[in-house]
Amino acid sequence: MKPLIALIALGLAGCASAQPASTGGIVSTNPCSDQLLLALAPGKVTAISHYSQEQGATSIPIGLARRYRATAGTAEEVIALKPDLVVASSFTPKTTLAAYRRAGLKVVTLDSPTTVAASRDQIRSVAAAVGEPAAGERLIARIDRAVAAAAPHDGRRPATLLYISASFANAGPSLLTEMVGLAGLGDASKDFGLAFSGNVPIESLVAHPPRIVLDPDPDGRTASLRRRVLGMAGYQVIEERFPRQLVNCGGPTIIPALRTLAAIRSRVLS
Amino acid sequence: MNRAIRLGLLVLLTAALFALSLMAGKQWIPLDAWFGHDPRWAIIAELRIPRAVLGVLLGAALGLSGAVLQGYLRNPLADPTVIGVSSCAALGAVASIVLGFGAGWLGQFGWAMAGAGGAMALLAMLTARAETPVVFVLAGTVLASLAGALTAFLISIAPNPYAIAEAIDWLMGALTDRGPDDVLMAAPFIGAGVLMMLFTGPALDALALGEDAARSLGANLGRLRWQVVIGTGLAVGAGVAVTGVVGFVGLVVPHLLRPVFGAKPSALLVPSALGGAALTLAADSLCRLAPGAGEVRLGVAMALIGAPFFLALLFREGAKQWR
Amino acid sequence: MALTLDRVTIDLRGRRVLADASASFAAGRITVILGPNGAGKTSLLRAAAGLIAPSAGKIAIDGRAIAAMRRDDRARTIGYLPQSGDVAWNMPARDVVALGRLPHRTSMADDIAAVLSAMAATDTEQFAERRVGELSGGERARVLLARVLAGEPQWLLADEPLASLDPAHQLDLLDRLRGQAARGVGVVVVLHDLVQAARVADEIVMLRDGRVFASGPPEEVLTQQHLRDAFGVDVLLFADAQGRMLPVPAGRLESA
Repeated sequence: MKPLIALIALGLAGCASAQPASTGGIVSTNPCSDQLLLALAPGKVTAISHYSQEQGATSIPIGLARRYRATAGTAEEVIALKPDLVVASSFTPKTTLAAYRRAGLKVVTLDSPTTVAASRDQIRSVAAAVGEPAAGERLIARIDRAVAAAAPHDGRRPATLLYISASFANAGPSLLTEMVGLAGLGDASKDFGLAFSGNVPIESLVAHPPRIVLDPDPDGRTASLRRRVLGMAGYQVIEERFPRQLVNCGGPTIIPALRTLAAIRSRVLS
Repeated sequence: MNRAIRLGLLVLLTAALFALSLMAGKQWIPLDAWFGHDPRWAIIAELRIPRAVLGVLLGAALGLSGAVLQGYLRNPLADPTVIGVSSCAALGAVASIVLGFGAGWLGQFGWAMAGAGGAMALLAMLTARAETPVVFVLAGTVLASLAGALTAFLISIAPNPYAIAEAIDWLMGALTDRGPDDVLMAAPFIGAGVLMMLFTGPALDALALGEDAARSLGANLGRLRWQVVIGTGLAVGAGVAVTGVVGFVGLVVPHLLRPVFGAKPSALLVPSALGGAALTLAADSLCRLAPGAGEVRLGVAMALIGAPFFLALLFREGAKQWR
Repeated sequence: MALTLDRVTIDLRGRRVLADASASFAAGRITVILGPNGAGKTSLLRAAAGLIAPSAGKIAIDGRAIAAMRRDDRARTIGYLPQSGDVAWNMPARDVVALGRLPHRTSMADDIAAVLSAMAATDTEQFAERRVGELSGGERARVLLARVLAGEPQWLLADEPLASLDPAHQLDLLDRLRGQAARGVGVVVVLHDLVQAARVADEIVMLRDGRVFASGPPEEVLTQQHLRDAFGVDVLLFADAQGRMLPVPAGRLESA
């Protein structure tokens, strides 16, 4: 039954519907490239990373993710699928990459883009590698529209600290930093001497409280304690939720991330 | 200098370190900022006071457990990790982080205490008819190994990288961002455990002559075993549940204090609790004073302070304090 | 006053180490327990001290079962000196001796008095402050005896207290045991040395294979025939200055 469906799906692939291929095709082994590939060439994807099927780690809708086969990213599984292209990341272990090469597979390795421009370049090169350059340009156009829509109309830049986890804050040259700036928010991480993302304990925060604190889990223990201490110190700090899914990847995630940041800014400033 | 004076000095030292830990940090908060409307008072009231109290509780639990276990096992190399309770508590906490059990923090504490409780029960069962401390140490070592392996396994099957990062970070031990809630959760267990352990003095002394002689002096070795297992389990388990794994204190503090308070086990109990508290407070202050934006992990600071003292002691005294 | 074992059987880890043993120890006298290795001497002594519960039989002091005594009470009445002279921690001798006061609920002054008197009786006052790990074997043996004496027990049970002591210290220790007996303490000693046993014992209980082989005064028990049967050795008997016959092992029996 399954091979028949796959055959039909292959036939329908040209219609750019989201039917998964069964062998050949593209195997992706990390959630960010999963997301990018499903945006560019959903019909050509044979398998995605198992992380994309986990609520806490995925960057794509779970319902969509579950329609695809998932691998744990071991060389064995991937090689058995005989893919035409493997999309790995800079976190893929070197031994695994070497195994792919030994098996004669074509591998594309993606790093995590630290700027929107780098993300555009990455989209273009992946689109070319999978033979969908037009889809790539369409995605880039949507990202550009999102950047324009998020751009602020005045000079106010409320200082913002973005927590990636309970006490780990984003800082330094990263995509998140650039997006925070593009959405018209100020980067508060400089006040804490952070050259790169690092821990900002509550005590340090209270010394230089920013205007806005973004947190993936505002009801968590650390966030609650932080609210309490800030309140007791008499500071008016606005706390907003910034979902973890928007933190992980570049590419298509840029669009909802910018939208969320811009919305937060307008809420704060009104 | 008699014992009372030495004990008094140790209390003063601990109190001084307590006061220091309230003031010290990336912002030094001088006394005139206290109790006022100075926003820095919030730091003291909600962050540093609970943290210092927790440091005292944790340090006392670890120091006292170390002294009790060294006395019970008649071995100066014993420390709370040897009975496997801290590893099992850590396993419980990591399980709740990785598998997402338990609603937030209370769940994690509860799971860690469950791990500690499981370890205590297993230990009690495995050593029910033990005639020598060897069985006790073996049982604890097996538990620690098993718990460690399961912890690593859980981390390896974690559903997302954030869970892994959180688990590993937690395992390194920290008092950072612990608040009054943590104190309220841990204090009853640590208090109960410490109280239970303080009653083991006379029996531990008698045990220095061997089990037969101890029993002939009226020591109740069965009850002692319960006091040791449950006392250390509660105190160390609750400590780990709140702060992660902090090593070193239980092993080193009794050694540091033996030249000062004597080698008799009962004479070391209260001093080890105080010494453990003092060491933990000092280490925690160091964590906050370290350069850089974040704070050093408590276990690291502990080793950085304690190890040089310990090495100096070894060089100077050799192994004079134990046979 | 008598400490009696009435048909006592002891099983340890599935093995019967003592079967149907009966013996009576009198206060103010020294009873020596003799026997070849594995005969059950230590087990008998430990049972008499209340450290092992017998599988059968009764152990009593003046008819009162020691198993029925409260732990503290038994600890105050019976002093047990184990064979192993190890002290786990390098404490001053004074602290080791003071451990003997554990079962007593007396004032600090009374405790100190008892400790001093015990140390005087064992001639150990001069190293009260010295750590026990720095003492010689003989000195440590005396300190450990002082520990037992500090408890002021009515019964003193010692398991091979002469092991690893040189002849001078052996004689010294036996003299002190004799002194305790003279003060009314009931002394029961497990010994290996036949000559020392003969010299110091008022009564002898000889064990073989977990049973009481012979018991009574030395001249009745330490006969050549008994020693042949129990130990498998031939002995030569020499009389000492007091007319006691001291058995000196001379050779092994071929059929032992």
